Amino acid sequence: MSTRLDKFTPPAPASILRVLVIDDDDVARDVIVDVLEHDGHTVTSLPSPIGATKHIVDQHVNVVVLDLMMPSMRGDKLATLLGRNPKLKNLGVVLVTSARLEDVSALTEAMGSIAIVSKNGIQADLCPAVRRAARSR
Amino acid sequence: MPAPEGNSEAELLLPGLRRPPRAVETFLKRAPEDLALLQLAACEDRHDEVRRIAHKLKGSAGSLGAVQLAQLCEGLQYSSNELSGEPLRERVVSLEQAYQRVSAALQRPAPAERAAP
Repeated sequence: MSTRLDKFTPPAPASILRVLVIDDDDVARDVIVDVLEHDGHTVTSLPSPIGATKHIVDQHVNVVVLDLMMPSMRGDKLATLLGRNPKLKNLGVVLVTSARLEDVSALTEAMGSIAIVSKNGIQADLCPAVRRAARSR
Repeated sequence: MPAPEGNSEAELLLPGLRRPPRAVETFLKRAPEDLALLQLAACEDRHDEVRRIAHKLKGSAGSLGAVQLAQLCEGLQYSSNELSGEPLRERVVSLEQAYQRVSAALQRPAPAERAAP
């Protein structure tokens, strides 16, 4: 009995998630981190996708928030790569963009269940999208 | 798209949003540099650079709730190919003026701080 309990790792409560934010824009990144921390989550951030996979595994990240347009790698490309990694099968992903959502509608369709949030609507829309992304995994 | 001329605080910055001091400080430091680069790119009709900088500014402004400034950036981003010479530079000047208003609003104490004795 005790062995079974020792092996059981309860999932993080829905209100306390470990979230990684990757955005090359310092201003947007700081706002996103602040908004998510205010919602009760434990948040870390990176200015580029370099080292993201190791960080996600080491820090047991539940959800990653990716900027769509980054100079080193587009967020949707990174989301696809992360989705193919068997070690990250429980990782939730949310994309953020300063593009008009109507201009990325084709991408929205292609990304399936991955939410795309406008940077104009970060403060209202991001936290629900992050919680949904965690629940969907 | 003509420059919106709203000057009230609510028109410049959406009320009730979280604006962490570090993000505001970074924005106030970086935006003038970006605007200078934008002006230079507009003077030289480098449309790709105009679009790139306008896109970057739009993301920062939008995340801080500076919707009017973000809209101007978006207008410039999407119309930069159709503009050149003086009309393009005029658009950049409108954007700089909008930034000045946002900058002043960001540096004003919040209403609660102003009301404190």
